[in-house]
Amino acid sequence: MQTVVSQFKFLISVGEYVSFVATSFATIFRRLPRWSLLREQLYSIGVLSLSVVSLTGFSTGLVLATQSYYQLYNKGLVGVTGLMVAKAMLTELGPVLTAFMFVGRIGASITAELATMKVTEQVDAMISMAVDPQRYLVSPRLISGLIMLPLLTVYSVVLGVFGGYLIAVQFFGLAPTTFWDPIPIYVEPFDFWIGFIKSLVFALLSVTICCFKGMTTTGGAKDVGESTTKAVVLCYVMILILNFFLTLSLNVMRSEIIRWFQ
Amino acid sequence: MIRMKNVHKSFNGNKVLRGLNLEIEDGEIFVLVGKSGSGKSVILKHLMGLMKPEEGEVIIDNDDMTKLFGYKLYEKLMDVGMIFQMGALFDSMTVAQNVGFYLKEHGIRGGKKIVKSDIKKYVSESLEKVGLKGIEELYPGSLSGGMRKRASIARCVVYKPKYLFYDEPTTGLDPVTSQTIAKLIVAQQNELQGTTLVVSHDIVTTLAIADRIALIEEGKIEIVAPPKEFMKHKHPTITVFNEMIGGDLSLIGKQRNG
Repeated sequence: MQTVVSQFKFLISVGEYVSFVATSFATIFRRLPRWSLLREQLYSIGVLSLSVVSLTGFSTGLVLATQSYYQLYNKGLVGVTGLMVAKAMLTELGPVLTAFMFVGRIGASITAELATMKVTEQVDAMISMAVDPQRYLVSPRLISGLIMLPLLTVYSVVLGVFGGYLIAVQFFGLAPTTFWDPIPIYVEPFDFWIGFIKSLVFALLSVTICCFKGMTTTGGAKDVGESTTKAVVLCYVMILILNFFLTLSLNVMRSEIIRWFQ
Repeated sequence: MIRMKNVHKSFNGNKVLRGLNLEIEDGEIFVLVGKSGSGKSVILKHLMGLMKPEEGEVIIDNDDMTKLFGYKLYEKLMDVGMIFQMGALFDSMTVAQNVGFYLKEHGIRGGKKIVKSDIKKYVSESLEKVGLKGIEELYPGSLSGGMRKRASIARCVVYKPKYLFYDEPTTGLDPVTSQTIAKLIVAQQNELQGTTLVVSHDIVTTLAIADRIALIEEGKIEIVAPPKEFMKHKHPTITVFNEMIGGDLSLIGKQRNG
């Protein structure tokens, strides 16, 4: 009986979340948030995340190039080190790791801030002054997330490839042309699009989950902490699950498109 | 006019409002008293449209708040101001930004359009009225409980709403600050000439400001009467109130009638 009740509650939560996302987009399309609110969020989500994303992208590139070099040099395949770094960063590690950093730094703060506002009646106070919290609090964060996460992902990929280049050329003594030359030949526009689509989906998912968890928090300080933890964990799990399905479906789609054109 | 008719509301099977009926006339200070958990704050949330009843009507100026959603609800709330129990000031904004929030968002004051350059002047005037001039640039975190409540009052009265709702305005305050808040409630009512609903369990303040008092118990209004008649009732809760003030009815109208 308890399982049935908990499953029912889960379905209600999913329904509420879907309705929340739909309302968020309807609010954005009805009336865009004020530029000053958007600018504040673009700065907070984008500019203030640069340091953590730089570190993530650069260190991943270093590790990837090091591993690739040691795995490949005795097989005579050291020339694909650059290509491996670029492909892996562009299609998988760039979008996923940047999204993870985004959730840890931005998502957690979004949930904690909105949940605190909710339990201290600041959201109710906003409504009492005839200001829609969806437009004032959620829309700027959602738009900023959708703009900034793909940009941060591109930035992270560039730094990753640069990190890979530094270690491969400066430390392992690879010729710069050996590192760079295969990249424009084998990296296709599709690789860029796969990374871009993933980062867009991860942004949508992370911001909406974190805002939803924040705006539906009730109780006190303990519940704010619980909501924040739940939001972050849920985002990580959803990113990992969706990453697999996106990789699979986008590659299948790509094969079908190629076959269709042939 | 505010009218609640046969309002029912329950939370997790616990009935909080059981067919509540209430009428508040224009221009009066109406105080709702009752024990903690009797449903006083729930009534305010229904009036703000923040909660919807399972049954019944919540009418403000011929509009049923139970049937208003989205932008129609926000349009209606433009006439309403609410002072929350803990102030509910926005932590991320300064006092001046808090007080000027409504004016900045809507560009309207007392139903008339204003120019944005005048917001600073209105904010200053409003803070002066509540005795908080000079703290414009402070953040709510650095204010005392009484200052937060006064800032919250300033945030509401700055846009001259037709209806002002106070949720436990003197709870947790010392008697001197409570008296200051009571004076402010009456002063705002006299200035705005709107309708004021105060939810409280502070009988001293209630008697000092109220035109009419209602007692809520078990989710229903038990007694509605002007202060003098209210205190004459033999209801057990009113007997406790009488004991608390030592039968001193000279408190009645102390603030309201000057």
